[in-house]
Amino acid sequence: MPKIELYKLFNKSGYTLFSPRHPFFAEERFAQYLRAFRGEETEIILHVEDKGKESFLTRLPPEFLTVEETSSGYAITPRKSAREVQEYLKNVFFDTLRKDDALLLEVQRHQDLFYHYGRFRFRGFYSILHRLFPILFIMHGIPGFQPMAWDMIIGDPYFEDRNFLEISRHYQQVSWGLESAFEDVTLRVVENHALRLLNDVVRQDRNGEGFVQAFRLAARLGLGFLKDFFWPATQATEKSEWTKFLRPPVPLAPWSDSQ
Amino acid sequence: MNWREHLEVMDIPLYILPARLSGWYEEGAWVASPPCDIAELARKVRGKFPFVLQWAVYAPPSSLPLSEGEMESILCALERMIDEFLYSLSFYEKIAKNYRFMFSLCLVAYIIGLFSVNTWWFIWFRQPYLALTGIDNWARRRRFLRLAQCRLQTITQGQDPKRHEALSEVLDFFLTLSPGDPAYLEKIMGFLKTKEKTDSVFGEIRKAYENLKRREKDKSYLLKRIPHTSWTKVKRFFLGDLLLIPEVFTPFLCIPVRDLSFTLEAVEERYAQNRALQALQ
Repeated sequence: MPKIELYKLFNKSGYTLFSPRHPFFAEERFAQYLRAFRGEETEIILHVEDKGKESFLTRLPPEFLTVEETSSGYAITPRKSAREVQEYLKNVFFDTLRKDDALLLEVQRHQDLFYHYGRFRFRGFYSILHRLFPILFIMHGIPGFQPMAWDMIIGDPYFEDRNFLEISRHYQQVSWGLESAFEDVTLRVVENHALRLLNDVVRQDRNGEGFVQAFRLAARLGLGFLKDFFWPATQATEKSEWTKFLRPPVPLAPWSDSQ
Repeated sequence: MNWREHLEVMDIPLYILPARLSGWYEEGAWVASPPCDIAELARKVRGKFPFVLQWAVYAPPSSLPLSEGEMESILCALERMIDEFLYSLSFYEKIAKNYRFMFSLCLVAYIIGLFSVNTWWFIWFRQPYLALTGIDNWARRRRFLRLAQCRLQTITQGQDPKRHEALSEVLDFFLTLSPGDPAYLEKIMGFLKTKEKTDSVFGEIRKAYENLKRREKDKSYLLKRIPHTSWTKVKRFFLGDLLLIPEVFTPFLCIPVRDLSFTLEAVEERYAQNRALQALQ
């Protein structure tokens, strides 16, 4: 069953969903899409800190649904229709995971097809001359060259074309799988203690450096791939190591007009 | 999954082992590893297809045991590892099969040449190395393809108390080692070897550690994948047609997991010590 893991990370102002995936070694995902092509249904596994809290209504994002506590219960005001929410979620996956993999798939397909496209077929007028080149040897007293010539003229292009077709068929199947992988999806919510520890560290935000501390702990907690999230987060929002390159600007002239 | 087919459940223990991994994405993590490599796993499921692979997790005692999500991520990692391996083997085999078939024409040419004409030596310029294209992946694929008959993988808590006890002993020994010891794996293996004589469970745990040791000794993925030495270039030339069919590397079934002896309190203490030191300075 193809599985997509999502981690619900605390990012100081709200929550972010992060999916562990290698930026360019995509074979493991292609293998999953091939499974989807064979008719298996995708499962999205959402890792959260606390399952109990997740099911609580007020935790829902306010742009979909506003929940207010009243004296007698909860006042629920839907902001979007179910259809709109579905569309929204679909677009979210299409713009991130699916688009990314579709691009990688196209790149990989063309890389693999490049070497096999007409490798032994030289097109154009001169190709005819080149193909007849072994005739010279055959006519000049080396008839043993014949089997080799027929191999070159008929055998090689035939098998190379088969290679080309095999590869394009394979990638076609993967891309069909990619399309169907995001059609039928089941969601499963699971509780992750390591994630809770990390989110607590970010929430505590000691010295205003919650992200960098989470970055240091992530690998030890078995969530090393979250370094890819915490490292840019700390560099962008906390005390960055790149600030040492921020110098006061060098004046173009030793004096300025205002002085 | 077809509910009508008879599925045999293969129960494979998965040990959570105290370790100190050192990669960028796994620094300080422990490891989850079964007591067999993927070749042995494939051998175990011989003649048992289709089947369900059930990983039974055994972990040393901890104040914060593995949660559902962590178990699930271990399962996902194992599934992905095996899937990717089988996927790459089958994909490259599709191309390699054609190349090897190309050699059959070449063979016909040789035979015709041998029996028909006196000046036949030219045909040795054909590509005899095509016969060897991707032969290593072919052999590997034959061994591992039965793993593709796995219909479902599940993960559960292991029920054997002996294994849990053995792991707690291993953890006790691990905690006696100094934290910066570079030869900690050898020491643990030595400990397990002495224990193995009394209890065979320790032998299983040693095998799981051997998995990890093999992985630690192995070269990095990039160095393996890119043929950067002359010898690998020559080898890949003969086994694959000019690097079009790269070698598919057998995965080590080792998954980094949370350090179960880790608590946030220890980190808090360290911060407090640092603050005290800073105040002194």
